Amino acid sequence: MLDLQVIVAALGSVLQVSSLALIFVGVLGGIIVGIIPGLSTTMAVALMIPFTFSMAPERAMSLLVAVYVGGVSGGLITAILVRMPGTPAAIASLLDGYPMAQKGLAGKAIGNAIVASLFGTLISGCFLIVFAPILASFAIRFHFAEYVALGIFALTAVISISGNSVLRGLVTCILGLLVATIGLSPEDGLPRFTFGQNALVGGLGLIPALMGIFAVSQMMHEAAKGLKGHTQTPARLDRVLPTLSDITGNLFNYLRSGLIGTFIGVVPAMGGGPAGLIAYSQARNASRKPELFGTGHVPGVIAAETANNATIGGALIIALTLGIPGDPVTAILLGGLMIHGLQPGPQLFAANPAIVYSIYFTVFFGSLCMAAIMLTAVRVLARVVDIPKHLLIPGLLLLACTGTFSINNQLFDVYVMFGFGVLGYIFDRFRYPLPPFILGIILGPIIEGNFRKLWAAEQHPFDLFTRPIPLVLLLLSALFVCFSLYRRYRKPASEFVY
Amino acid sequence: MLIAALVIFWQSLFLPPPVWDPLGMAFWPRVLASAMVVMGLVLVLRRRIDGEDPEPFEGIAFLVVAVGCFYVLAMKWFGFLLVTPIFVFASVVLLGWPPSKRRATEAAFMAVVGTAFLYTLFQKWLLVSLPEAW
Repeated sequence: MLDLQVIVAALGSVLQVSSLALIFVGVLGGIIVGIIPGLSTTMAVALMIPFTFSMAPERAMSLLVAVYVGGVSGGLITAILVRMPGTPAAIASLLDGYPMAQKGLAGKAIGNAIVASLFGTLISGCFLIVFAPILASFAIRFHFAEYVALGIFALTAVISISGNSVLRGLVTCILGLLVATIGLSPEDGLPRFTFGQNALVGGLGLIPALMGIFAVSQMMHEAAKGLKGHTQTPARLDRVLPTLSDITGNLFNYLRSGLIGTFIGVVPAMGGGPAGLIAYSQARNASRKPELFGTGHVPGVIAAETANNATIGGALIIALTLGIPGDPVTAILLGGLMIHGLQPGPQLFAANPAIVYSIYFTVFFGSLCMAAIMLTAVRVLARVVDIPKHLLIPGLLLLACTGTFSINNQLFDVYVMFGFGVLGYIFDRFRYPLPPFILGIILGPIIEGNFRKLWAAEQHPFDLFTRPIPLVLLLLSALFVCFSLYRRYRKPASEFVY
Repeated sequence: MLIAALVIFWQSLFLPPPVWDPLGMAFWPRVLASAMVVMGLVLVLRRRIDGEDPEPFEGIAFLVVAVGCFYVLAMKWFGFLLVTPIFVFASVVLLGWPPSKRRATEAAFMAVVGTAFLYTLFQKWLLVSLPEAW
């Protein structure tokens, strides 16, 4: 039952000037951290915890949730402008965002991405309020078979994010899956493919891979072009606000991607990266012009950003209703609640509904604040594209090195980043698509770990075909593959390569 | 790719046998290595791929990585504060070749301001322990 008195009280609390100022500061801080490559939203939220000790619980949660909203959104700026995703959640945004920036449509790309982030957060916020208990019961049905099937479904995105060369995309994806096997095997507690090197026990890391594959390889290209006297392609900022036709023409895209993001967000340990890639893949599949995806197409940017922001509401659903942290950020948020003597889970709704509603309202006001800040500041931030290459490349390289180092305080991670940079450059030269490699690194541990647990528990993998959720996901994967192949083979052979 | 896949498969033979589950830690890498061998063979057999030459490699691109690695190596011994300004100055001058008085001024400005900004942001505000002089 909705208690109107409590809702009004929570709204009044959030609308106080001091609370709004806290939300503003939190969102701004989150955006800044999101923009800086290597710095994670988790780090930003964790850094804010000590400041909340003396605050009332409602305000403390408002600040932390605001940082979360800002952090998830900030990564899009560098992803679109310089192909350096500030956060893993922004991987899918660069697929069409960066080509748009290269064409001189950076403003349009960023504007649409910001509005999509806003809509994504609002859509998932609505789900958070209305369907939280239903979605939470859906999430707790996720066992090993469901995770494996969801991982396989996410892998089908390779078809969409490989451009015209699906076979090469599959090869890079398998390489990514293999890279993810390096390090300590979580199921066995034993090192694998570490060759006796202690530095490899922790694995090669997603952020160094992300920085290397996308950012360092791009800097290598740019440096070569710059020193050879090639003219640079300025990613000039045109208009920032999207046109009405951009919005109205993508209403279904917003809704579909928002739903995908919310559902993926509800599932623990999936996160914004896979959500963006799956939504991107589905948007391409539903499009009448799928060939435009990857070349700088607004619906691609919209799908990616809507979905990755929609994971916020999804992650909060399971965290608040069941007390299960779906990712490190929500784990810290739950820690923030417990510091104030509050127990997350069903009893939170009964004992402290005002806190729950404060969080709901913060998601809404935080997302509005995020859109306002980013749309206002984007012109200043985007001046980065006007910086001459001989200044920009060392600056970005320095930022990438320091950001990557800061993850584990290890110089080894920076070497790994450079190693992946060389690999990304070689892939690019041979026209092997890069995003499937990252998809493989993200999904590898999810698929392998859960498949082995499934087999260990049941002594067979038949749960994949006998349980309803995995069966539906596998059927959807098969349908998607068949449909994509059908569309692909309808095209003239000259339009694609293997 | 084929060689890498075969090396991985060979290496997986030395992994410990299954303990708590029937599949073991070598199962997944072997599946992937096998898939990679198949994909690699398909790619080789497709004549289309052979007809398409890779874009040429540029040595300067690898110079960026070499300089970057040298920077990281030097940082381990001499610390962030000493090495970073030198790295930034040298990179800006190299990438902005031929050198001029203006380029040198830009490089010096960026070296000092960039280092100070990053040091303040990471070391002071975010409490990240940046490498110090050996």
